[in-house]
Amino acid sequence: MLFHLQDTAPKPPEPLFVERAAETLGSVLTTCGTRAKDYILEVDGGGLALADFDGDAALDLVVVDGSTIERASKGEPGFPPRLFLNDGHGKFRPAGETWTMTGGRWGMGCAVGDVDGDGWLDLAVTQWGPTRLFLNQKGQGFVEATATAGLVGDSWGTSAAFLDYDRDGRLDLAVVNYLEFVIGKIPPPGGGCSWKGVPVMCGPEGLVGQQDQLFRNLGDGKFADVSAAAKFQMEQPGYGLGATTLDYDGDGDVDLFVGNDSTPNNLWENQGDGTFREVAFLRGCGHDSNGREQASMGIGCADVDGDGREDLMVTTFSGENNSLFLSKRDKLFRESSFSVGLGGPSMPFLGWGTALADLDLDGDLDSFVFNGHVYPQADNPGTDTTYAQVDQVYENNGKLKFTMRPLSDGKPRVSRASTIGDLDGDGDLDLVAIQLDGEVRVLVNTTRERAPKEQTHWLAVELRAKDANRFALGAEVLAEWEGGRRGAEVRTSGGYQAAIQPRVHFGLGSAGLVKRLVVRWPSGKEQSLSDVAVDRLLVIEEALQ
Amino acid sequence: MIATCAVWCVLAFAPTIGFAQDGASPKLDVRARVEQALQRDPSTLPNAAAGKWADWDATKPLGDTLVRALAAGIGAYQRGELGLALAQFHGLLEVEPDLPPALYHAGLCYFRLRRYKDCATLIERFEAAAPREIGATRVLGHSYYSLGRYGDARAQYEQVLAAVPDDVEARRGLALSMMRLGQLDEALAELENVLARKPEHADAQTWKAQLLFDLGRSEEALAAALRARELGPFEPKSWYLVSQIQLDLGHDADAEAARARFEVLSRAASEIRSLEALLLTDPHALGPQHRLVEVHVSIGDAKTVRERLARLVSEAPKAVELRIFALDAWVALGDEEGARNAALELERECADEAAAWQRLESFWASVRDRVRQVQASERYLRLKGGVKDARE
Repeated sequence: MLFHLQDTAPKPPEPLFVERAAETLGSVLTTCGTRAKDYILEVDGGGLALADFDGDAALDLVVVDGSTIERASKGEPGFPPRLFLNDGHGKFRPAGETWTMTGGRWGMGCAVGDVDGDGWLDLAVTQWGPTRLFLNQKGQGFVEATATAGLVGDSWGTSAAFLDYDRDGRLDLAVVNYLEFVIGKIPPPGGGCSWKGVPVMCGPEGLVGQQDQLFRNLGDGKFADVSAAAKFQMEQPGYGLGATTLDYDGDGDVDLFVGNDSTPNNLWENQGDGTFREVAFLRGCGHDSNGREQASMGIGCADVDGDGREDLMVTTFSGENNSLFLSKRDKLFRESSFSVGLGGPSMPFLGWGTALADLDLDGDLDSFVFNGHVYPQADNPGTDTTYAQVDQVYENNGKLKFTMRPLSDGKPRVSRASTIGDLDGDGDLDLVAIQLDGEVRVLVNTTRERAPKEQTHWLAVELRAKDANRFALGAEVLAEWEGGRRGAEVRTSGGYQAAIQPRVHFGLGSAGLVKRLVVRWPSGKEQSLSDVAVDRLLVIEEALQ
Repeated sequence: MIATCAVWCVLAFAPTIGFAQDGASPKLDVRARVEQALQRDPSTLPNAAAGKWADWDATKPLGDTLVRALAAGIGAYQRGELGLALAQFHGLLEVEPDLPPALYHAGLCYFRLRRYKDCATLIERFEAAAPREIGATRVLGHSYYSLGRYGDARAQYEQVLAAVPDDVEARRGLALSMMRLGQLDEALAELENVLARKPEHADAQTWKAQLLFDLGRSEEALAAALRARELGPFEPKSWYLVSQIQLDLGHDADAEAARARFEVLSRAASEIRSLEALLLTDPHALGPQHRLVEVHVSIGDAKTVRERLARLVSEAPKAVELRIFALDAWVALGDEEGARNAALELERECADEAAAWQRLESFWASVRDRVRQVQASERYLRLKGGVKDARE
């Protein structure tokens, strides 16, 4: 439940976040085609990562930028990804020359993970073109390793996720691809595509979806495309947009959920033998409850109902409801959006960045959604929606009923990817979001500013494993406190074109102590701590025994 | 009642009027008027003085001019020419602001165009102008529902049902609104109510299955879903539900079988939605109509094929290509009676076309009707020869 100031007269709920890009980041613009959005390549926006690249425990920001059809047609590079270093108080400055990344073809999203096991987070950047890899030089800068990394292919990568699917201690990479886009072959503006009777850019329907890819880390700085060998391929590929890792079946190996646009979602169940099996239909998370495929974009993943299994929040197109897939017994999911209050309020909106997280530090998980349409023509009469849209916070009342409130100032914007993390180290979770053809937004959570500190305790946990998967992606952390318990998986995949720090975060409400903290390491070992002090970032090293 | 008026208007005038008789300038291009109507935000339509329609009685005929104009709009609506109908109603509402039947029917047009907010705008105005007609505003509940405003939808359906307790569709809407609001037990009771009144209501049966499934009553849900599938065998949702419930019950083989059919129907339904969306603004487009028939044939939905073919051939009843297409569709469906009827229509409507008789010859041969086969062959040769002679 979000915190409310006590007052005698009822007041509309205040936004939980305030826009503070001007003070914290400055004006950082991204480009994704022209404002006319004549081609589908121009509508996805860029990507974001919040992760500690320089080893000072503060979350730095990567902004992945795009390009224009004109530049791409001329063979000119796109705009480069940029790193902004955090001063530890939530203020960012452009990183120095050693962190400079060159422009690729047309950047989209990114993934974060320590691919070489040196204890520093590296960066993969997806693009309309082969995925790029930037290796972190012990917190001093990036060196591009794309040419030798073996991340082959020339697809349109949107989201990506690092995961150790074969449990060899090295991080592998899954890349989610969208569709075949060849300038000159895609119908131009006025090419006969329409939406609600209005001519619009073409796609994705009618265009050819691309297979997602799985790259195995060979441990020598190279990756091998094992998509076929790992059976990580669909007979009919969907239009992939979002991705998250999770151990949905609790068998100790990592699975992958992929949100597809206008085609059924995929749930890749790790078979434990180096292969995957696609089980979304069988597990009830391929379609909405009506059996309809949705236009899935963003993904939030966490145990929102506290049953010990990860649930999935998926953002979708206008006229569709955002879907909450609640895990049930026997590894099944059930789309349960309406009964919890997440369905109806999302209908007019086209959602992108999202997460399931305790935004108000009261011990239950809330959600947020950044919205914005793909068609500028959404402002025409009769569409039942708009191009610029308000963002939403969904407040959990502690009994899995959500109430919608504005996320910040309530102004409509055309938002896209978002990422989440504690930017200023005050314990509550802040947000960064891409605004299409606009400035990157920094939204500072005001919970700890406004609420009594004794009602908004928190604990953040990072893990350091013994093997090359140093940040322990795939580990599970279980926290128990007076009046609550929650499990959380360590991941860096942030849903739609976004990445997060490998850190789990617990809102604790008024509990001033975590009675028990259990870590299940990717190695299979279990480690337990008692009476853990709160309101801090706790880094746990994997014990030898 | 509005519905009474609508029927009366059309019966009285529809055969004798056309768009040009609506009082608008005949010089104004129809296409431009349609485009203008579709582009218009209906909230910009003028408002009547407060209370102007307070005494309006739907059972009493309006003046001839208004009735003629209304009937033209309603005729266009019934032909699926929704843009044209809107242009007509907008014109009327410019002249007679908030004229209740014009508001109402314009609202219906917006609903069919899937412009739910615009529909709500006009039906709310209709309700304000003619509060006694609350029983006719079920479509406002549907619009609220489609916009995700389930609380408003519920309230609207309750008002409609207070006036017309037997309105099954309003009751179904009420049940679905309750379900969306998380009031599952109440929703289930309302669906039972719908099914008590109309046991063959496939959609209500499907939602009943969904609700039972959501309530964790999987065995009952399966029975309901199987019944829903019987009632609506071409609806992917019932197949989806059956498969999901079977999975829940651990009947994996049965679930897989249902899934296979679901996937076929789901692909078809997706294409059908896209094609129908195209027809909303271009109702006479032959391409989408052709394709719709093909898609319905592919899933074996004879009833809808019949309806679609009737509409398609009505676009050009003497067009031999359409008639042959209709015959081919019935043959592809394996519906002997439908094919025979289509063949007889082809004979009747396209008797002077060589292509018709050529196709008929092969059709009658395939059904072993030798007499007709020979007749068709002779006609074909005669007509073909005629063409040949003429060319020579």
